[in-house]
Amino acid sequence: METAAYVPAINLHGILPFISLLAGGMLCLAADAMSGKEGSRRILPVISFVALAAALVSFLLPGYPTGSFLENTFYSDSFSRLGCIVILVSAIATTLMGPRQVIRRNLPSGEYYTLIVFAALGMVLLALANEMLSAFVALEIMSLSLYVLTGIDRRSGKSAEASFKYFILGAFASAFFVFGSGFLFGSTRTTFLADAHNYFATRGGNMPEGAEMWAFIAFGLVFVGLCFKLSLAPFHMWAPDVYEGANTPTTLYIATGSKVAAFAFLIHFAHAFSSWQIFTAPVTFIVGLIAVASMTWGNIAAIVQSNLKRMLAYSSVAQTGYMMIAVMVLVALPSLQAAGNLNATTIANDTTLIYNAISLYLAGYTIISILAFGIAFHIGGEGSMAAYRGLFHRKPFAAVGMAIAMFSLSGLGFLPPTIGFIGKFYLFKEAVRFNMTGIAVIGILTSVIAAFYYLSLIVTMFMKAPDEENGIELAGRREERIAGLGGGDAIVRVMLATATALIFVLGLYPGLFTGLAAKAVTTKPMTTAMVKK
Amino acid sequence: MFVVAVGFGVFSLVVSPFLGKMKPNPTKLEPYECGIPTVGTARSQIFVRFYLVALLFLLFDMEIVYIIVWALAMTYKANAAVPGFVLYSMIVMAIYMAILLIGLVYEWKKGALEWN
Repeated sequence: METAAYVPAINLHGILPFISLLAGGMLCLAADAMSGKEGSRRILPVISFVALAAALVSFLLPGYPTGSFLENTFYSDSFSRLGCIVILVSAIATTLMGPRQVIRRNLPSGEYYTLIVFAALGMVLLALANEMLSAFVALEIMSLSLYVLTGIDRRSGKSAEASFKYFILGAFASAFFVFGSGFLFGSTRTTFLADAHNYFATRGGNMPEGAEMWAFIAFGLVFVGLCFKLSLAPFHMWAPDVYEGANTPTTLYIATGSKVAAFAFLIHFAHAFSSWQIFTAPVTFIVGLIAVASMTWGNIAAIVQSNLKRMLAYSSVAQTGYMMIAVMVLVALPSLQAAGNLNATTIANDTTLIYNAISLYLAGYTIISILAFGIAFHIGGEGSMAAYRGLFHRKPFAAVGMAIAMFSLSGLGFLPPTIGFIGKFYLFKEAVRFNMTGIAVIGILTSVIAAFYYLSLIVTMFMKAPDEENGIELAGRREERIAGLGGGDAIVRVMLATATALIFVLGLYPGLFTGLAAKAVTTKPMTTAMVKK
Repeated sequence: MFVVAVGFGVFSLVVSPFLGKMKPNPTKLEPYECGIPTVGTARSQIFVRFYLVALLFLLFDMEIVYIIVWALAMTYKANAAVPGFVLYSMIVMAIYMAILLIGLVYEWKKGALEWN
C-alpha cells in the first residue's frame, strides 16, 4: 500500500527564474535587516534589479524548456513564456521607479523592493502554472505582496483604503478560485490541468451523473476568481479605487504584471477544458459577454473620471476586455475545427497565431502602461488633472510622451503604426478570421468611444493654459529637492524614452517580440505522452 | 437534486420573514439572548504585540508540521533504499530551513521579538 518515494527529475533551467527571484527576495530581506535606512535605500534597488534581470535573461536564453516540467505542475509554451518576459519587464520598470517613490513618501525601502521581487515570483509561477494548487499558491504569493505594496504608504488615507478594499475583495476572489479547484477535483479527480484535458477528451462525452455540472461550476468559479484579478466588468469595482490609492509604480505593477500573469493562467485553464465538446458553446458566449461588458462599461465610465489614474483604471478594464476577444476565439476554436470551418490550416497553427496576437497585445499594453504611468509618476500629483493642464508649456517632453501613450492606447496611432494599433489590429483580425465579426465590430465601436477621453487628455495638456502661479507644488517634490533629485532622475527618463521607442519599433516590426519565443518553442497541445503515467 | 437543495435554502430564507410574526422587544434584539448582559463594546483595543506573537507562532507552527512529515518519510525503509533520496530530501529541507532562517533574522533585526 505504501509506495516508495522517488527523486523527481528537476529541470534546472526551468526553475532558474524561480531560484533567482526567490534568492533575490531573500537577499533583499537579509540586506535590509543588516543595513541601516540609508544603506538599504542604496543597496536594495540594485539587488532587486539584478534578481529580476537574471530571471528575465534565463527566460530569454534559448534552452528554456518547452512543455511540462517540475512534475507536470508547470507548463511552458510560447504564450506563457512571452507572458513571463512581459511580467519581468513590468517588474523592472516598477523597481526603476522605486528609489524616487521611496524618497517621495518616505516608504520603508526594505519591504518595498522585497515585495516587488516576491510578487514577480508569484506572477511568474502563476503564468507557468499548470496545476490548480500550485496556481493557487502562486496567486496568493502575488496577491498578498500586492496588497501590502498598495498600502505601504501608511500615512496616506487613500492608500490604506485602497489596500483594504483590494485585500477584502481579493481574498473573496481567491476563495472562488479555491472553491472552483475543489469542484474540478471533484468532477475529474485531478488538479493537474493536463490530466483534466485528457479526462475531458476521453470521457467528456459520458461523464458520471452530476460531474458535468460540477465541471461547469468549476470553470465558472475559477473564471470569476481570475476575472477579478483581471478586473473585467462586472468584477472591476476595486480597480479605480486601488489604482488611485496605490503609489504610482505599484499601480503600474498591478495594471500590467498581475494582469498578464492571471491572463496566462486563464489561457492554460481554458485550454484544459477545450477538449470538452459541450463546453465550447456556452463558454464562448459567457466569455464574449464579459468581453463586451468590459469594453463598453470600461470605456464609458472612463469618460467621466476626473483623475488620471482612475481614468487609466477604467481604460485598463476596457483593454482587458479586448484581450478577452482572443480568449473567446481560443475557446471556440475546437468546435470550429470539428464543424469543418477551418480550411487548410491546422489547429496548432491557429493556436500559435492567436497566442501571438494576445501576447503582442499584452506586451503593447504593458509598454504603453509603463510610458503612461511612468510619466504620471514623473510629473507627480497622484493623477490629479490639475497637474496636466497646459503640461505642454511646462514640460513639453512629458506632454508629448503622454500624448503618444494616449494615441497608442486608443489604437488610433496608425501613421506610423504604434504597438497599440498593431495589437488591436491582430486581435480583431483573428476574431474576423473565425467569423466573429460581431464582437470585432463592438470592439471597434468602443474604441471610438475611448478615443474621446484619450484625446480630451491631450487637449487638456496641449490647448489649455497652465494654472497660474498658485504653484503646482506637486506631491513629493519638496522631499525630492531635499534629496537632491529636483529635476527627476536619469534612469526614469531613459526608461520612458525606451518605452516610447519600443512603442514605435514594435509597431513597425511586431515580429521582433513574437519571435522571442518562436525559435525554441512550438506550441504543442498537451498530449497523453506528457502526462505523468 | 442540486436545484432542489439550493431552492429549499433560498426559499426558506426568503419566505420566513414574510410569514413569521415579528414582535421585537429590547431583550430579543440583544446580541445574546441568554446569559449575562453584555458589558462595553466588543471592539476593544488589543496590544499589537499579541498579533506579532501570533504571526510568529503560526510561522513556526507550520514549520513543525512540515518537518514531522519529512522526518517520518525518511524513516521508511522503502524510501531510504531509493538511491539519492536521502540526499535529495536533505537538500530540500536545507533550502526550506534557510528560507525560514532568513525570515527569523529579518524579524529579529526589525525588533519584532522585543517586548517593550
